[in-house]
Amino acid sequence: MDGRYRIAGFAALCCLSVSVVFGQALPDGKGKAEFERICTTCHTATMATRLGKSEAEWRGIVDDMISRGAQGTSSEMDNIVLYLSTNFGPGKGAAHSAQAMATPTAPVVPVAPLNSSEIERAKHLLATNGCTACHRIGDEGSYVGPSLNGIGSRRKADEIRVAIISLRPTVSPENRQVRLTGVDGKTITGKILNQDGYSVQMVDASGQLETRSKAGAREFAIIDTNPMPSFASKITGLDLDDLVRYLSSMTEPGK
Amino acid sequence: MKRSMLALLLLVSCSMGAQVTYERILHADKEPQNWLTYGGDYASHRYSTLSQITRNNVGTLQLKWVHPFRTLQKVENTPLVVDGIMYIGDTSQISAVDAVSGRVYWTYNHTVDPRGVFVLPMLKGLAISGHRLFWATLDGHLIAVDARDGHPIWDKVVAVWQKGYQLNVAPLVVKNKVILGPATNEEGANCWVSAYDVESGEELWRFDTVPKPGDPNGDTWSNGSWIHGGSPIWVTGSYDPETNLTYWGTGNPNPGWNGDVRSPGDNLYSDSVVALDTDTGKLKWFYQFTPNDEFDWDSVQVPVLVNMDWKGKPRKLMLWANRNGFYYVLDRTTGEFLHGSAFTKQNWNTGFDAKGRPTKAPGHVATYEGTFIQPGVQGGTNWYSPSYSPRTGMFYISSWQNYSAVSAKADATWKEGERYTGVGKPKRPDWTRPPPNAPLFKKDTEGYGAVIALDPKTGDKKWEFKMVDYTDAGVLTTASDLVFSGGKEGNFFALDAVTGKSLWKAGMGGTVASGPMTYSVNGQQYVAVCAGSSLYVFGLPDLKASK
Repeated sequence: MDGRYRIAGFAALCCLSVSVVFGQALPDGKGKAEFERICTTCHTATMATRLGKSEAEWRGIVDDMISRGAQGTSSEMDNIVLYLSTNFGPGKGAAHSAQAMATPTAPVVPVAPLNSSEIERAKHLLATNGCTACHRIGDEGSYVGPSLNGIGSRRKADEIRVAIISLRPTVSPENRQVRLTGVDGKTITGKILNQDGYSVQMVDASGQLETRSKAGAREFAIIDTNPMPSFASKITGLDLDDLVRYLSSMTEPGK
Repeated sequence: MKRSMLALLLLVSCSMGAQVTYERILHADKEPQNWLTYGGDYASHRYSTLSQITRNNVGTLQLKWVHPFRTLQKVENTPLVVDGIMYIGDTSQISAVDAVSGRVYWTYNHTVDPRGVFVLPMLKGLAISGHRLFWATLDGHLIAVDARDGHPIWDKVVAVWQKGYQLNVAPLVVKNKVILGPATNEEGANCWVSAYDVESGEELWRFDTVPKPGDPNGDTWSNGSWIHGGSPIWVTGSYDPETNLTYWGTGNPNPGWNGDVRSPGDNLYSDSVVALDTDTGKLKWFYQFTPNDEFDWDSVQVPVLVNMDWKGKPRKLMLWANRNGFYYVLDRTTGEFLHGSAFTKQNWNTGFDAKGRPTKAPGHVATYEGTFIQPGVQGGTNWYSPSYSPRTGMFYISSWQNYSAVSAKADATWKEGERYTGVGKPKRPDWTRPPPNAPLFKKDTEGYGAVIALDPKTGDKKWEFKMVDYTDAGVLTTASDLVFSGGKEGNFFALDAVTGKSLWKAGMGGTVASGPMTYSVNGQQYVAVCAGSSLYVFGLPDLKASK
């Protein structure tokens, strides 16, 4: 089953539920079927219909959605623009009614949801490539590197892809490590969280939060070397696609 | 690379840090260096066995650090402290900070929906289970946050603010449950107490504080008034492991100042304490302090659970100083009323019957022209945490003494999104609006704030520490017989728990409207309190922590 069929299958499933939930709420018209089938694969109909936009604005939004992975032919996309601009033109968006203001909207999901075998494949890749040695994933892993929980809300899919397959010599400032050897000769290493002239705050690999005095420290070093290797030769093709989609789907709860 | 990864994995599996288990909270007295739940322990004594700060040296307390909050509102927060890390927050941000220096480890923000208008824009505190902090936000989210890195684990909308709800309590964690309930913005939204699974956030049970017609006590609301009965939750409950009951105080019925639509009827379970089975949420017993309330006397006080001799026999008791001006003792296993006596001037209750039902004074009903009430609407006390010291055997409360008000009703019609109070403006010829800055000119006979110590067996006042202005501050007691509290004057002070004598004070520059707490790190004891819109931490000099 290639990716296109998977998405089409999912979209068909969505249509079943969409027609029940939104069938009566959406006005009829040319392009309605395409709108329901293609757009609600990733977001609720309300995400679009609460807005009131001109044809040019709808064209821009639909183009943006195509760049985010919306699947359809160009004539189908034209019909969607026609449908939205006819029924949800300036001042016609449902957001202009008080009812819509009170309706919580669904979060934006930038990519198509994964099926269970894709999720399994992504989880397998994370497990077999040692990702939890540095990253937090769910309730597992270390606090050394940036947590992958919520990464889909903080990084775009392309950024995640680049981070996996490129070799970057240094980490971002917020992911720097600190190594401190105190007056007692004990050395502690952790991710730096905060510091002032007197002390430094860090979290070690286990998640233990620590404050250490800088006074009298035998060594105090901030380390920005990136310990993450490139996985360009290990994770490729559809594996990489699925992993990126999976990580992108790990959005922050409530965001 | 591989070897270093293996080493890291070993490190991770070996030292996951100390989790806050149910057993730790259950035996909170065994680790007085920490403050693991809102009331200090499940019995909500707000009493600490720490004794480094004494009546002799308390005069040398000095400021150690300050944590400013983002809010400009007064702050009602009681921090948690777990093994040297403090967790605090306001309505839009929570933080983990080093409890010695106040340096911030992480912050997590939640943007409260700006369209919401909230009557009480405060956060009383957080709860913790394992490595998860639980934050109930004003706009109805219950969020589980990883205490180690500040990342959210789950985020559930448990109350919809558009329907007139808000959350401002510190949740109570018992075993695998996070227990809390919503308040209504006086919008007549019916409230509840619910338990959520700490792992998933799934709702495990719900107890409605306003029963439906046909349910037990559903007939205590007339004219269909139950549908907008309110009865909010806005102060944390307590837990008794022996009976497996969790106790919660409920707020006023809606419309709060006009009982016409609700009459006749007691309007259960408003202004009550409800005892719920912690596993199922089923009601074991209830006691209503103020039936058919028209004066806003929420019973949102912290239930204080005490075991002591009662008339010669050991008994499991609940001590409760209520907003309506009465001090109560209940049997917490059965709900039996054992004692009720006024701790401030009152004019509404001429006495209790054998079951503890108050007898309302003739004519003591809400009127359009205004009714003179003692205590006034803010009550003889309110939500401020009391304290019980097993050493002195006294029950300590913040109180409004000699306080009265003229309360008037107005017609009330429920409309979605609007306050449903029935509050009016007094029309009595002898009523004048109090002048601004009234505390500056006030006489004792017109009302004053006080910390008072009660004999829990009799309700007799053992001593009283007078302020000029009133107080919204909670009370902390310690094993070195100190009482810490504050008030609207902006002073934070230490009193002798035996005599009530003032031993130390600090001018905080803003109202003290939180419950003080104490903890220790590396052998040094600290006392923390929120005042104005900051948290202040005090400790003794010359006891440098080793960090």
